[in-house]
Amino acid sequence: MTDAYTQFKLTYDASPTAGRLAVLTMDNGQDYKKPNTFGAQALGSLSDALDELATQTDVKGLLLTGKHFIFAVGADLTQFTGMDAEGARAGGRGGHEVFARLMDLPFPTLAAINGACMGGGLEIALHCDYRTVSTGAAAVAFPEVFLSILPGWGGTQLAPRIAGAQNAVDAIVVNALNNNKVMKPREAFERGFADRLIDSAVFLDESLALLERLVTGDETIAREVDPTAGLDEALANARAFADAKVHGATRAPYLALELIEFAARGGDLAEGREREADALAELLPADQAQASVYAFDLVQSRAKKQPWRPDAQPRRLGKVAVVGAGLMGAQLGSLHLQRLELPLVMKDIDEGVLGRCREHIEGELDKLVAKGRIKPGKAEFLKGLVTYTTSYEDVRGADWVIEAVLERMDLKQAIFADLEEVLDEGAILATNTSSLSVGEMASKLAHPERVLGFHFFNPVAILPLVEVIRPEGVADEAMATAFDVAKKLKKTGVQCADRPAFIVNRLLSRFNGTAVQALRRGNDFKQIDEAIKGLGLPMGPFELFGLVGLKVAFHTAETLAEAYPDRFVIDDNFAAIANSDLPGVYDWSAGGEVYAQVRELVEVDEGATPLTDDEIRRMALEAAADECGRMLDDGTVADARDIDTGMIMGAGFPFFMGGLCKHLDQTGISQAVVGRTLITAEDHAQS
Amino acid sequence: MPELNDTIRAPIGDAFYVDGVRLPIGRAKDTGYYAGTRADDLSVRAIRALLERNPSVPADRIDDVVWAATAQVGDQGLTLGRSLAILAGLGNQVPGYALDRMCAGALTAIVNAGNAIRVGAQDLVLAGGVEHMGHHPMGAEVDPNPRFLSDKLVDGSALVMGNTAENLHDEFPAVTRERCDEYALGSQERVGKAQADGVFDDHVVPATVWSAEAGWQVVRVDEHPRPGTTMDDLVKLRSPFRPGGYVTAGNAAGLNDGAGGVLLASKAAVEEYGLTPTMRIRDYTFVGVAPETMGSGPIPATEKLLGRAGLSIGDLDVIDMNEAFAVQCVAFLDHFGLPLDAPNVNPYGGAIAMGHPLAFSGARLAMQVATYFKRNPDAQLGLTTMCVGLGMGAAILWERV
Repeated sequence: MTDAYTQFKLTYDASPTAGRLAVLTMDNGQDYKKPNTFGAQALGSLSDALDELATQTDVKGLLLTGKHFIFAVGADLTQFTGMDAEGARAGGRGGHEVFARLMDLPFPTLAAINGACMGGGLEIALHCDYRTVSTGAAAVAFPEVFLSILPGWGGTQLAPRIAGAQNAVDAIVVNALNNNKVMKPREAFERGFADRLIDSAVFLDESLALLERLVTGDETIAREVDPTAGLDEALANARAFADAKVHGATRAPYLALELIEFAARGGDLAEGREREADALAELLPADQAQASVYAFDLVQSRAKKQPWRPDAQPRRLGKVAVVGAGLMGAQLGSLHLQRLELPLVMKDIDEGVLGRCREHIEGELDKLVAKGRIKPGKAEFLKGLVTYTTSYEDVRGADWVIEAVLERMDLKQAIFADLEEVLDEGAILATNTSSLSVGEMASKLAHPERVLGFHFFNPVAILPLVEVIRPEGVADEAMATAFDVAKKLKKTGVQCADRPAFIVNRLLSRFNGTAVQALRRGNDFKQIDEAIKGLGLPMGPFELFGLVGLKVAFHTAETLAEAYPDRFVIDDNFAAIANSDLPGVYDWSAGGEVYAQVRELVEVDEGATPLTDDEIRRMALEAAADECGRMLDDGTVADARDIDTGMIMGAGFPFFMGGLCKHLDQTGISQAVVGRTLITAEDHAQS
Repeated sequence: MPELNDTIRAPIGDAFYVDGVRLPIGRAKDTGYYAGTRADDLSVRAIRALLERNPSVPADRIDDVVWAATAQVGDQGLTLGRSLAILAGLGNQVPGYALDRMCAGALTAIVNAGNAIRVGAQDLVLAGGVEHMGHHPMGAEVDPNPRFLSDKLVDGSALVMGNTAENLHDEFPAVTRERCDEYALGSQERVGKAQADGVFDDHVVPATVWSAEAGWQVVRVDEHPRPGTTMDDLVKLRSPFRPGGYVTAGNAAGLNDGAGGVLLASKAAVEEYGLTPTMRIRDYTFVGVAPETMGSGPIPATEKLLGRAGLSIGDLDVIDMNEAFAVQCVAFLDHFGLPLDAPNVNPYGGAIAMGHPLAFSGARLAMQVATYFKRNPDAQLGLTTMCVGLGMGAAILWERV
């Protein structure tokens, strides 16, 4: 595999109208699942192809394209790990040098973007004179800033010249920070990244015909772009957007905007390239980019391989059930129905709850119909798969049952006992508990090995994580089924041992507990939230309490205080706020000000001095480091990468922190608190 | 223009040949043009090029896509005509089907499409065929019923086309090896001249094709012809079919990959979309002959067609005959008293030089008749004819419009 690199393969065509044309194909010899990437060998191959072209005096035009389904997806990320400033600068210059040669070819060049085109792939396309994009291309994007780097092979300099300031800013900065959004082919065309949008069925033939007409002069493509148009506004908006997203915690979006501005204001291309190389030299070796490459591998590769999944055949599912049809149960039912398309039983004791559940599930399907995602007949079919019932008899025959009732051990045990009466021996029982012991829940059953935890995050439709809780003695088939279901539900499953509050809630509770302590020091809610967001987090602790619900957050804190009284202490301020019956700390109906009642509840220690922002962050991170160390020691997770995957997918911790452990290791906090790095060299070797 | 006997089977309406497009024919081997390209993709290319050349015809008004393939599996499976309607983006409302009459697949597709138009059921039909013999070697995916042989329904030689050609030599002793090689040489020369004259530019479109080694490349001209072939080259070749046999790689059609099709239209469609058809289907025949000498099929097929129309062979301005084997062509020429170098029989050469991607070839014959009509304004009547495996002959009579 390591031998496979993207080769630039040259063929020639004798066009009767245009004369001799060169066709340059990028192909790494692998199937579409291993897309074309650019490393040193690929750039060498391009250089060789350009050398060869230089010997051909009669070539009249060049068409650059990719292999089936893939144009090129940019630099090979694996080479970035551990790269130093000089390596980064050299890598940038290497690309600049060879791409510039492509740009300087003395005849028309056309990039035929036949498939996925990202990063360096889009940059090489921008170095051609013209671009076509296929309606079948999966994505056109600059994902670099998402990884705390930037397009460093001319992308920041050419995009504003070719597509204008607003489009360059959107593609390079805004999209990248907006969950790495990509442009679909039509959008790429409409935004000027391609001159023509061509039907996939005839894409290459038509692209070639266009090149012929461009060479003969039968067709011309005029591009009138004023790179300064809307520039100031675009830059200001993007800076504000970056501030809201990363709070200055990574330099990449800001540097990218500076480079775009330089190019848009007419900056010299050669100097712009040099500035890009400088930026790469700064960004690539930095913690943020290194953490991002690590996080990218965790999420895109490791988690998808489900390293926790036992080598057992998952149970074949013919029918599923959700017990407890409240707010959470209804969301779980909706997700299972839409993704599994299997008969679904929603069981509750309350007809009113079932009615509201039905409204939710059917309403979600109606929304999909309204958006044109599914046809009305499909929605009716799916609605018809659901049974809303108060009787366990209807659950009979279900293969996968998930409970989402109140967080009370006795209640859950009673429900599992009732379920066991009607279920087949191999049917699997999953609990969506957020903090109770799964093993204890199973302990009274005839077949406790069928029980596991399957913990979603609210809102279920949006947050991609599910913690798969592995109690002692659970059957391999049950765990394999759980990971199978997670994949079919399009969720990222991360395994966790049966410990109170599992991974994400335990860490958030500890982390956010320090914010509650800061209140006692006289710090203000907003200052604390802003300080924590300065790490680059999407939300501060008190904002988060409002989202998950004060009572839910408090319940988790109580559970943990009971399990680990040495370090999880219920603060009276938190108890008072949680019991206030307010929806959160901030009154979003009044501009997000803190509720006056909440302010009045807070008691500040006598003689306390408020903490600085740095102290607030330091306190939170040290608590988190301590808890991460304990999770590894007590076997909650076997590998710090599991924690990071959970924090990225379940708590929205950013790529540039590598989740949490990576950041703690990079900043030396784990060494200071735990006496070692959390991620071991062995973990890296396995990735 | 002779008087045609039209009292028998007068059609309700006419089926007009509007246009035809094919890709360059490739050699069926690992290094051939299309080794890395799917058969359905070849067909999509031809269909889209055909529609682009006739922009007044809305794709979603096509009433049917009739597409032939002998091996209807793999990239030639999944009911090709309908698959192609979807893959070519014609719209969900355009139906299609696949059919098979071995070498006469596309010829049958044209006849069926024409008939649907002639009875007034349809107005615009795409008819063509594909055979990727590199992906589907002849006979590799079939399982002949053992009764063919156990019940002596056919001789064993009937299932190997080269052997049927050797059998034809036995049947027609006047058709010597030498005359066959001479005919084959003529085919090479005529194709070479037609290429030089740009004759095929009328209906051949380039294609971009994938190769694992080279990446994408553009193909524009037929891969099979061997320009500069001499009699010396041909006489040196030996028959792989029979010790001392006459049938060689030089005087037989090749194993090839190719695709293409034609657009047929009713009078109403011609008027509505302002089309300029070249010719119309006047009549057609299919006949059965002994499977062991399937190459004789064009003779009775043509006789029957001429007899029904009250024509003689001399009334035909052009004949385009599939050259499965030179022996079959020479036997046909002898039967009708035509010389080996009859100028109006395969005027642009044939399958011996160009190649014969089985079910596709009938479409090429029709395109070449149309091209002949365009280049020869006085020509009025044309014939396409083919021999077919398992002992059949097929012919279409075309009339200029």
